[in-house]
Amino acid sequence: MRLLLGGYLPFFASKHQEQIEVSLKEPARLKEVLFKLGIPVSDVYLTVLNGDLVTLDETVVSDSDEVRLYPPIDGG
Amino acid sequence: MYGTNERLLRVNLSTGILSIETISEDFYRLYPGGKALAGYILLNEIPAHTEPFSPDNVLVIADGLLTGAPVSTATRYIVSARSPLTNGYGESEAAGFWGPELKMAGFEAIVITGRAMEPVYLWIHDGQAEIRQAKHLWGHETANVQETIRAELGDEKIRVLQIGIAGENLVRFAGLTNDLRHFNGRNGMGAVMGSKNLRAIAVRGKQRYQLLAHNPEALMALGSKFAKGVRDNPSSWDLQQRGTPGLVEPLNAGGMLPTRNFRQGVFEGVDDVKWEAYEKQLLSARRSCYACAVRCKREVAIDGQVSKYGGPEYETIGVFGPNCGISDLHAIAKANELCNAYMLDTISTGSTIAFAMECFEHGLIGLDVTDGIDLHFGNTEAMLIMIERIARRQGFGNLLAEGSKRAADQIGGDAHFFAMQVKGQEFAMHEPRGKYNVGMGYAISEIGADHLVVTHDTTLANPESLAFKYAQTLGIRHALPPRSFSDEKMEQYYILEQWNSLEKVVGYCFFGPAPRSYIQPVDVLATINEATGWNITMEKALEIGERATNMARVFNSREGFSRKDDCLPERLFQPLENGPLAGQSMQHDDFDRALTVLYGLKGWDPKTAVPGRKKLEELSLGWAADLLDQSDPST
Repeated sequence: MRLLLGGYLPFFASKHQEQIEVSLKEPARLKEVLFKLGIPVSDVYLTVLNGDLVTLDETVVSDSDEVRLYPPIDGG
Repeated sequence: MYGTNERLLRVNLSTGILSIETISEDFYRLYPGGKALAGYILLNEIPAHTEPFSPDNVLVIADGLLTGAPVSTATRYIVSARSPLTNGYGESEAAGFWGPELKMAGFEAIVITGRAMEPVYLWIHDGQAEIRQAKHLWGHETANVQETIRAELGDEKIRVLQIGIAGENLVRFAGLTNDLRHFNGRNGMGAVMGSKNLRAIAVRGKQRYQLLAHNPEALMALGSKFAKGVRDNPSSWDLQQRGTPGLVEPLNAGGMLPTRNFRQGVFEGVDDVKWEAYEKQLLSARRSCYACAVRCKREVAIDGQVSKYGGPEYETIGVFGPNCGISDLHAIAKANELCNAYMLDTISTGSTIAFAMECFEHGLIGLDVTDGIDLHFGNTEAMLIMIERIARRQGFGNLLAEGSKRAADQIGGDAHFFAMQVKGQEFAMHEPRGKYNVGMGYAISEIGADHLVVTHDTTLANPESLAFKYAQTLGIRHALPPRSFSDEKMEQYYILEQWNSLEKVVGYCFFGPAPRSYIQPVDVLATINEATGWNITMEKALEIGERATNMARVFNSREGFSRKDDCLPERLFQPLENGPLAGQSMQHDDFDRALTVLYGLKGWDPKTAVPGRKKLEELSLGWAADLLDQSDPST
């Protein structure tokens, strides 16, 4: 699975990387994947699964999926 | 008084007389700099119904209480006057280095009245001030003016605050720049300065802030803490990495990137204007403001040449890019450069051009009106030409130089529907249909549509976030949905508006204090108390912010503003055309009910939106209630 981290979410990645390749042998709950990677779900505001906006809580991902995550964005 | 110079410089440009006035600590406890100091002077010294370009309009430039302190993001100063864009209370803040330099030169504020017979500039240094002739500077681009002033005064370290050609030409959304890279963009303060024939204010000071502070060691310790803390906060870390251009893609993903004059929330060309493209095509360096650890400023190179004017911020990318249907990043950077060379507010300039584009596409104006310019969305060349013509008030540019509201009056028909403005000031690049409190801020703000009135809804939508945890110390109790006008949401608005107003009083940048950023509210209070020797509580701090907002409101009430002016363009009550928020709109009934609830919380009359005497007296503003009683808003 390809995980793309938008906004400030790379802050939580081990090397502050914006893209993480995750190997999934079987479908998994996205929240659990993020927990293992150290990405706090409390900071995820938008979840885009293969181009579609979805709800993080209910999302199950497979190895071939692409997931984009965005945090809440304030003004500037 | 600790933390200040206790000195205010008065300049009468009609008589050429300069004088120095002492500010007492008792006064400063109620009006501690920035927005509060400016609001007090405007309300007391500008006669009701004074024309914005009259010599009787008063231009106040005031440091925040903490501006110049050695703590990250306490760098701001305010420029304030009756606004030629809104005809109401006007203000615009900027960071950079000029505000701290004014403090080091021995002054807290400058109050400018009258009009010079010929162009002049002010030279302020180490407690001294003089008026110098500026005929040779008039009509020149800002970079040339800064270079000339530094050369003739013989000091490369002089900080120059100036207007540009747009201010000279009284473009109603002309701004000011300091160091060519920091901008008081909003509300047309540059045009007021231009109307006074004042081109620039050059400042140099060698005083050390530590000599002013009550407890310099404690302030330095707080400064060190803030310098380290920026790397521990994800939002601040991101600002350090990408600056505000990093907002483009996430806002687009959420359907909140204003596109084609707020018709849409998702831009199909976003990949060409997002941070990754910016970094690859434009970025040349990262820069900072005075003592700031966030370092969100960006430098860019255009066609291999490093720009003298800094790089486009998010607002500028948004307004000249997606909002004009343009995905050419180099053209956006060029638009930024032109605006800063002529000193136009990029937000109002781009938004007014987008307004004209929509009028053109709907046939309300044709090539005969636009001097043959094809103003379809996406026409990059037309956008750049219009910036030139607005700044110089040439042809159709002369009409757009009046701002979208006045231009809509002239064009007629349905043009008003396409003017995305409140009280005459154009929207910043934040979509209220996804963030209702931002919409309420656009509606109710005394300066017209502005995005820095209140913390944006999305920041506080999650109860587990760091931002929400910090916000609880302000009195925020629950995380609430961004798309809601509930009563509790209005309670949040009421608190957060006071907090944001306090920032404008003491000189903190929006990117310093929580909940938007990383400096905890308790540490904001600590900086105030260590600088001054005071012991103010959160309750008192919020009261300072509320007092400043109420003075601005009284100013507007005296000018005849009322509830009907706290409104939003009809477009927001119609559905967005695309993206995750497609089909979403605000509801009139919800908005009207929320406005009534908010007026109640503020102690304002729900019919007239005028602050009640009881509220004003609670805020030690009984004198402002007296002013209202004596005024006649109808004249």
